[in-house]
Amino acid sequence: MLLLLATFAGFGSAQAHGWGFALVMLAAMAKAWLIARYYMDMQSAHRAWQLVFDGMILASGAMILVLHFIA
Amino acid sequence: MHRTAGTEKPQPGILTFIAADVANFALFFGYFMVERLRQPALFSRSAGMLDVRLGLLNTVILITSGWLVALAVAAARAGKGAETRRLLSWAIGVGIWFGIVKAVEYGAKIEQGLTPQSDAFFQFYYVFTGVHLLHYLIGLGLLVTSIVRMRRYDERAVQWLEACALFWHMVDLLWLFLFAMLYLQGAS
Repeated sequence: MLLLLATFAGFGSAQAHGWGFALVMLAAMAKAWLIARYYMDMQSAHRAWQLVFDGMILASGAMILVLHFIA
Repeated sequence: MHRTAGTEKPQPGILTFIAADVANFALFFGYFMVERLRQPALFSRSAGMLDVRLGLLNTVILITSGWLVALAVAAARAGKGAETRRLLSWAIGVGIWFGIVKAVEYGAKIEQGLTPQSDAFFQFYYVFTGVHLLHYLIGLGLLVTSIVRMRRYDERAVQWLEACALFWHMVDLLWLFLFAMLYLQGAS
């Protein structure tokens, strides 16, 4: 339900820019994190795996956001 | 049949594969965003030609299908073979619509003359969504094999299902970034 709510929140920001797009990306990162934690069972995985997946989600989102703001 | 099976922890082998695949996509995202720096107006204009409603529909489809697969894994671990197969069938039934919607979307774009040759944005769009679609088709195939294997419920069938479910969730996870980056990003 949280995933769907975050999806519809993102839809409201279609063609967003600046801080609007930052909210879209934060919602996408939150959804990705929830999927990794609860669908992919990362909450029961070794701490190192949690760091790998959390790190990739954070790094990908941050990279997209930083390059968006530079453009 | 009521017994607990499976590992209840993601298997390191499949996690390594998935982490490598996600890292590849992260590089793709970086490449797209760097190219976008060169011509932000063109990327924004072309992104505006995508149908956000279809992208949203596909997001809902994948999230729902992923949820059903997560329920199927829980049922398998609880030893409920029949319920696992039923949930997997639903997950596939919902998941198939992603491919149908994508085909409709590709068809509409090509009809409008928007092909990979149109501009840099649409090159990225077709390559990224095409590679993702390939992952989706593999994931769908893996879910079908899981149903077949779950007909003979045992520890190995549950482990197979857990690995296939992880792959399916990766397809879901990658789409969330593609949807935000390709469909929802306007000019800054």
